[in-house]
Amino acid sequence: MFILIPRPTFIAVLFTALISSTAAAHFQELIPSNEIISTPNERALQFTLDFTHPMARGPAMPMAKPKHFGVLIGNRKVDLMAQLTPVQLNNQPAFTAQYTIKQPGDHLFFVEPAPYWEQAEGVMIIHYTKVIVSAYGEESGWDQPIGLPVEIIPLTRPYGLWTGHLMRGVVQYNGQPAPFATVEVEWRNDGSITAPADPFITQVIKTDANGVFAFTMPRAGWWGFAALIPVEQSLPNPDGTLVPVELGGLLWVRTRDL
Amino acid sequence: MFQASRYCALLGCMAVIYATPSEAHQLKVFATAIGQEIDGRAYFANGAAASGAHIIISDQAGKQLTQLQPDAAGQFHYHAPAAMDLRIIADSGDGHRAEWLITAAELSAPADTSSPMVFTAPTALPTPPVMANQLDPMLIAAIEEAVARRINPLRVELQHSIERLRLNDILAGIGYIVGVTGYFAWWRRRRDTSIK
Repeated sequence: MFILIPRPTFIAVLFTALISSTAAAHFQELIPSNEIISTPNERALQFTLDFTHPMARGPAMPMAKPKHFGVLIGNRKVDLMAQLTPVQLNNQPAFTAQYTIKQPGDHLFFVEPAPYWEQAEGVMIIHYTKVIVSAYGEESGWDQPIGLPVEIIPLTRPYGLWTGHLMRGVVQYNGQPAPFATVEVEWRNDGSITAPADPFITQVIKTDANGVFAFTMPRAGWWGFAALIPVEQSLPNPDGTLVPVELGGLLWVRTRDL
Repeated sequence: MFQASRYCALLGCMAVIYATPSEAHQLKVFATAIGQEIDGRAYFANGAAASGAHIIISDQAGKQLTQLQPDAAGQFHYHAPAAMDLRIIADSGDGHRAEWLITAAELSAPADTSSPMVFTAPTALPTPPVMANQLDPMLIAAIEEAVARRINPLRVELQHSIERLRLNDILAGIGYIVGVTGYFAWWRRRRDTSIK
């Protein structure tokens, strides 16, 4: 039943993984047209779902149809799979979605993408991603877990953030805090910044012993936080070979200039 | 000097503690219309129900049509006399006010079938096109509205029962496994004893 990975392949995969770990990071994007809905005129939301390198502005990777896409409002989960529309973004398959806000309260939108085969790193990547939209001033629920396998629970309210705000959160893996986990942070580049050197593309921070991380966001725009958990779990790649899995829990927040 | 600055810090701290609730507990009001029936809710920013607030419904000119008292969950209901712009005002009596506008268009529009309470699955059965051409559009709108209003509670109940079913299925599955295992054990034991 269990397929053994041939040793040369394993070494090659390991080597590639080591080499490529310094390059720009993959981020599943789930970006709403607005993160705060104050009036009914703003209630029609448009979402962009793509898999890319946000700070380097690409290259984008093809995104297969997600396994789940939905929203948690209070204690009620709404399936939004039917809202997904396939599109081409940066010459790669991606999705858009429409959603109309119908009630007050925090809306926790989330996506579980289909596992992505990253040949260069030899891993299957699953980035569980969420973004929180505040509706009509009822600020309740943003800190509740959706129940994703890897999830960032914000300790800072994830909207109404100024540039320079300190973002804190706790990384949970299967509902438990993940100590000393890596969290990669990227700014969704609008083209106004060119990184002076590679380390500026992806910021790398780690959680403390309680799974808590903190990061000050120095520019206005969308910031992606990707908590990465390497797991022993294996998934078959497109050739049917069992390969390691990188589980990610992503949170997107938006800052605005003061 | 040190004493004075410590006193100032304490005063500052107290000021912050006292000032926070009034800032944090912003009063809000929200309302939706299905036909001429308006359902709404008054709440605070932290999600708590503003059951003690008064709800004033007035027309665009500011003429008060009615005053309502929300229930314990902050919810209220109002039947609009006509399709007109209505201002829904929540007033907590301590200077906090919130306002929501229901437009005439919302009150005259057919019911929004994508109700907030349910999954966004297709809801209305497609009307046969021949029938639709023969019927008065006003009548169709009225039927749609009535059907939507009637089936909304059913859709909510259906969703709840789907969630209950999942638990039932798990329990039934466990029972099934236990049953089959028991039957198998009994059969083996009977076979063993019959061999002896």
